[in-house]
Amino acid sequence: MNRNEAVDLDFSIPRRQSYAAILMIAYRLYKVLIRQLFPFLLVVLFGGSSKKGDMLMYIAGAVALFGGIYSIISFFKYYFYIKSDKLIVKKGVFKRSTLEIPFDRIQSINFEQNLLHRLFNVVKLNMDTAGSAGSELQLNALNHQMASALSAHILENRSTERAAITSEGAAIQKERSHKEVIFHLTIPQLLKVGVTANHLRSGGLIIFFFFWIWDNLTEMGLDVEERMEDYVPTEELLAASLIAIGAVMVLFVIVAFVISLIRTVLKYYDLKMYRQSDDGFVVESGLLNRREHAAKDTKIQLMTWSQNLLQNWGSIYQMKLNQASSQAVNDKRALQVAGMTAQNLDQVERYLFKERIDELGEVARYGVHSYYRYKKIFWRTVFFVPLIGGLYFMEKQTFLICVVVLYLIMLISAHLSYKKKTYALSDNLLLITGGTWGSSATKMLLHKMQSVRLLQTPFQRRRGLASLVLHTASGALRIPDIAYEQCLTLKNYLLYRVESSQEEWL
Amino acid sequence: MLRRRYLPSLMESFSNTQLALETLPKVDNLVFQPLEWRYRTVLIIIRVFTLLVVGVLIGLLFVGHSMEPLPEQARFGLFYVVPVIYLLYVVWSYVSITKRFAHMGYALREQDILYRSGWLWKQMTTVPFNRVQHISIDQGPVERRYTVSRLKVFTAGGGASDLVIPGLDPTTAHDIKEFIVKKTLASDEQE
Repeated sequence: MNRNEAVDLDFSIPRRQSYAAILMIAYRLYKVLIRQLFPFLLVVLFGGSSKKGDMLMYIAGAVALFGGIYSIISFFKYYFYIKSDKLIVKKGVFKRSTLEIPFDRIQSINFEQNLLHRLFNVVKLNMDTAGSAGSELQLNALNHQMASALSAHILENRSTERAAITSEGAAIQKERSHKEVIFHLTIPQLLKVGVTANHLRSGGLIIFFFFWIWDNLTEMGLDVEERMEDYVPTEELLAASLIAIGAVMVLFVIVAFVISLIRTVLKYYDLKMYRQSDDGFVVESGLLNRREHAAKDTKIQLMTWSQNLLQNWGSIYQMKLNQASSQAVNDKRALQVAGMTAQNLDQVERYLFKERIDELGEVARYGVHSYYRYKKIFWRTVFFVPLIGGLYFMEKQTFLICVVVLYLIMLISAHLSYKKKTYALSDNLLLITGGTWGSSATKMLLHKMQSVRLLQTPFQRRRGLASLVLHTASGALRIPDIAYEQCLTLKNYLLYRVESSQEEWL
Repeated sequence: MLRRRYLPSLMESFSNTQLALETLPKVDNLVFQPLEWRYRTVLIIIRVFTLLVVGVLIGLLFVGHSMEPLPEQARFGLFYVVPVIYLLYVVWSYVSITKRFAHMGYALREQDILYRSGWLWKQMTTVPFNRVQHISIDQGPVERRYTVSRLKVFTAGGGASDLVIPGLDPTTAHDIKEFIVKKTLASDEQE
């Protein structure tokens, strides 16, 4: 199905969504209900006590029925139409409400397809409006044709967009829908991304999940510890404790590995990055939930690549393009691409920054003051000092060795983060690098800066240092611990570039 | 290649802007406008209020029976230590508010607005006029009593990047707002 095939539909008549929307509404409603009533449901399922359980079952049935009817009514009460460059949505079962969104306020339109959507061949339309949190609009289910027609209609009738098209000329307007694949994540590459993923995070997820289950079980009145003792004789456990702990550790590592592999495949399966009509990027990916995210060059505020240690060995990169949007949806709107090579990154940079990217090759990179290192050392090791002292006096040798090794690792990590913290500034670009075991780099066009803040702690003042924080429409960048004088010069330079710039930051 | 040096000469890295840099007004030569003296009273009143609440809570701790499980000596110690800490904090509050107030100030330049604050932890925020989204003037209950206003300059950078100048005379706040709006419109027309 060609998504760009714009069909002329008359949007001035109020329309409903595709019938599949009933299912989406019901699905979302039940998801919320189940999440809220989860402990309650568990009690009903395991509780046993017959009469009470029956009654609760009836209540659950009634709630389910109510949810179904509610979904159907809200579907029939939901209309959208277009009136004089505004998208108007009327909705509400008990309380009718009308939403009016001028086209100019719509920042981006994203298509999303999860499993349910794919089953019915519909898409979900997310419209992000610049403004405070919660101002985004979702159309749960539209068929492909209507969705692409609607988004094309809105994008073409934005007054800001119109100005851009007329100045570019008619020839370019025709090419607007031109899409070219610039990066495709193949299966072997996908596996590489999965293997090099952050397994520590998966490990954390497992622990979190375990505690969550534990919490819910104890909340229900099941004393897990007691039951465990019933099943496992304590003495045998003690005898086999070493083997058991070893086995659990191995299992933990394997499970963490498998989980991060699965997460990677779910998120990045068949990832494709397109260059669209030479003024934006589109990224689509996902196995069950197919997501499509788009960003215009002008709206991208920051470009970041990063690598963990494993990815460094495999020489692959993660890339993130932050685009301006309301605060609440900031991270959701970022374009994320995994498994890129250095060449791929270069290509994206060249599209995004044009020839200005060469400027960074000509300027020097500067480090931060060594105070940054001592600050890192302090915060990363301050808790170890009493621990090491305590263990020494308690004569717990094995523990002590573990803690001392950890302490040394922390020292090295602090030193590495200091070494990797650098920045470079050219006529149009700012580059800030960082990382501890891995590395990362963020690039920003200077005119994207919204405001700048100079910070100085008493400790910095003694050394004549300060930090600079640059705010953009999608997050802040920090240059920590540089000389105060230099901070001022940098700040003045940045302000000069912003204030003399005629370029649009959005 | 990574050249690591501390305090580099900036002129070397972007020599082509040398001229522009020199002609720019330097922040450090700027005269910052102090806030209205009344605002210091507002700050003190708000602090006194919070101190009173905390004081009452501490007092309740001593009046009730909650200290009884503690050994006699510990209770005796707390009886002296806590009020001393509290009094020290009262003195500290007064000193820090006075010092902080002395450092608070704003400055308007041709192209941007600056606000600085903090005594030990200093900060200075600058918002260029061509990045201003909108401006609001607010008043809290205590501020209304002392007729001072709070000017908020919003950018697209979200809450953390906004510039807030408290303790302005309402007419000054209004004047600044008008000035910025005019500047913002001018820069919009230019673009």
